[in-house]
Amino acid sequence: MADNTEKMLLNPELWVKNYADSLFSFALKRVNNEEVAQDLVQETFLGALKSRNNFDGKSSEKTWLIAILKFKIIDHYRLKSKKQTSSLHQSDGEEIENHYFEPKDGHFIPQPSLIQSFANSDDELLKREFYKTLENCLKKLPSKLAIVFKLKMLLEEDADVICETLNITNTNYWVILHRAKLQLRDCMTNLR
Amino acid sequence: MIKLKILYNCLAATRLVSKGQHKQLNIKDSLSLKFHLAFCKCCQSFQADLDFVKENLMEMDEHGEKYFLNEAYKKELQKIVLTEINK
Repeated sequence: MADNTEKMLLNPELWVKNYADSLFSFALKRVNNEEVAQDLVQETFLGALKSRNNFDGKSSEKTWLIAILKFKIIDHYRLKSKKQTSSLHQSDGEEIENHYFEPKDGHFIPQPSLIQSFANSDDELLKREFYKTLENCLKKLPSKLAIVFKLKMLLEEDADVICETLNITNTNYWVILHRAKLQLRDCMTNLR
Repeated sequence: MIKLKILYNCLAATRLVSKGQHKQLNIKDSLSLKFHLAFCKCCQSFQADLDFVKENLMEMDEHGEKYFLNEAYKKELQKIVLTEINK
């Protein structure tokens, strides 16, 4: 009986056809490496098959698969940060602060505004260009800053989990996240 | 009474802007930031930009670039999935 309802909701035979590309896109934007993204898609499908009894049918099949993929991506970063000998340091990305602020008093060195160059974002072309610029600039972020930024802003992970995943302190986390945002904004205004 | 220290430092102010995107600032921080922002065009613009980016990030998967797996890989993947289903 239970088996029957389940089969009505999940169609694993069609997963590759229906979702493989979207999952791949989702993963690639977050891990920045085609091979890793491919592996994550495969792991997601296999993981989903193993736990298909837990699917409650409340969300769509795709939403459920994306949620599993998110876990896999976070796990990927957890493993990666364990393997890395140098963990995150307070000084990572410090240069950006000196580029943006007067070192003596912390005053802003005026920067062009990003929102102005992309205003009128109803415009489809402008929107496409915004995302292109965004992706390019995400790629250019130093990897340590990028990981923190992606975990928070693209995977909506909790601060506590991010700190634990990357083995960093809470203070360090906020500093790094802020530097990532500064650098991203800087890159995006300059690419415009 | 909370004694407010006037926040002049833009680096410190933008750190609060950045943090405020994710959690409610405590009253002291929130007031000194408001005060700073009232007078500082650069930090206002920074805040507007960060909010703009955050808002649009949520639609990145929908409106951003799409990537595709190659067909050979998908074929292989389909085989693996089918084997797993029939286990």
